[in-house]
Amino acid sequence: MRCAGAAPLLGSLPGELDPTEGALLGAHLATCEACRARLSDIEALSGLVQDGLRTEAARRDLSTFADGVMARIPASAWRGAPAGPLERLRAFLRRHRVLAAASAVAPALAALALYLYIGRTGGTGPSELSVEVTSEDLAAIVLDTIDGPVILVGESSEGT
Amino acid sequence: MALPDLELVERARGGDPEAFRELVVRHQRRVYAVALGIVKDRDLAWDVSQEAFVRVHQHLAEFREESSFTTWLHRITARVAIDLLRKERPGRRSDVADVPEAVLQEAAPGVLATALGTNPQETVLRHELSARLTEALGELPDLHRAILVLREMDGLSYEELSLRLGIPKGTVMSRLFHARKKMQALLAGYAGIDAPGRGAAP
Amino acid sequence: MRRTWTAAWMAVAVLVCQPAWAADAPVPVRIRVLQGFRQGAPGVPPGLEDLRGQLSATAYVRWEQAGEMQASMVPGKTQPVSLPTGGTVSVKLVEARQGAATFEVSAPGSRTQSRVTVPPGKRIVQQVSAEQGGSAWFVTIKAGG
Repeated sequence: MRCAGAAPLLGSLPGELDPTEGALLGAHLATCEACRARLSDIEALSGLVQDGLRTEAARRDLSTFADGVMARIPASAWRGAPAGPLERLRAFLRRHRVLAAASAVAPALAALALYLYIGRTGGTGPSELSVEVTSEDLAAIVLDTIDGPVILVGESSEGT
Repeated sequence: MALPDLELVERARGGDPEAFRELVVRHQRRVYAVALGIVKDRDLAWDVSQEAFVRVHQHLAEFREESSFTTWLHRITARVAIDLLRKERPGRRSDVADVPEAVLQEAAPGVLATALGTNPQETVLRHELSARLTEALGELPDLHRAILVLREMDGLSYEELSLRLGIPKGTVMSRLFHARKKMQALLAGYAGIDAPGRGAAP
Repeated sequence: MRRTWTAAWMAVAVLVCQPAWAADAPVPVRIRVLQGFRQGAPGVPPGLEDLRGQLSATAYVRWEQAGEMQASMVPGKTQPVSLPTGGTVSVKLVEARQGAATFEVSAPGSRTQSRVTVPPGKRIVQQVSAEQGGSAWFVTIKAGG
């Protein structure tokens, strides 16, 4: 690969060049100071473009901008689509630190019963945790923590 | 207390205008910066930016929480800005080809990077060039400018740019290459840093 | 009533004591009523320290205890638990046998009914009201006191 072929490839992001091209470019850059310098120029320009546009944007008084946006949205558009059970469940999962806390999470969609059984290994006697939750219109989540289950309910379709 | 974007999106979806307004205020400046880069004109950029948020609101129900709100917002902003530029269709569909050696003589490689080094004196230059950046961008043809701005501000890949603009990946790469060359020549001109043979400014 | 011990469990149990309950003997059950808040300085009062692990799994950061009772429950019996909001949660011990106790909790405030079987020493923490104004009510249930 020579400079003429390498130059348009400079500044590519990971994965944008196929492995052969990438290898040839790498080999060329290893020996060509001029192309390494061109790459520095690309990086310098990148910084300037971002700085320049941000600075220019910072100069603009945007205090009335949001008002303008809101004025362009008709009042009727704010009714809000009633969230289905899956959306409510997603919202619910985000509101509680579900993933961080529990070793097992089992959600119930609204109006459906949840049955969760977690069998324990070892021990000489039956030692189980089982949870059945029926929740009318609310999503329910069971978190299995080391001290015992935590049963949470989500939001109703009427909103909070 | 600042709620995360996704929380605000969820509330806005449920019909909460204040949550949506909060999203606008939070992201307006960045959106405006990208729009300004693409369409050049400040008032047009204002309009494009507002339109982008309005479209975001229209399509809130379709937003998938798996991706980030910022990415989605910027994608919509790019679409609105590019739609505005679509009057001129891209001409020839050329794949990237070797650039003739002669073109590479325009500016000495590394001149810009060197000039913008870490020396305090060079920081002054950086401020000067930053201030004239939009002026330089304005000198580029629309499509070149759009590609450069989206690449640098939003980190869009060749693939995404190709899809967004409806041109082949090779064309994206060559336009980007030429846009960068032109910008460097312009900025070097503003800074008084010239092509080899005429010596660098102190 | 007296608790009895069973040596077989002790070999593998993490817990110090594992009570076995005779089929119809009353079981001591500790029930607490709590309120969790999204806002405010994070923390649990001293009396709720033992719940910290379970409570930290939720989105509520500040906790207050509103009530506590020690009920002596026999299987099949329902214990009403009043909430300061005026609602009532019903807790029923369904059965207690070696290795597990089963409770049914009915919470009209959250329109939820649950049936939970827990190993000895484990505690149920259940939300019994839908969240309103950034707070929600919970009950905790633990057999054996």
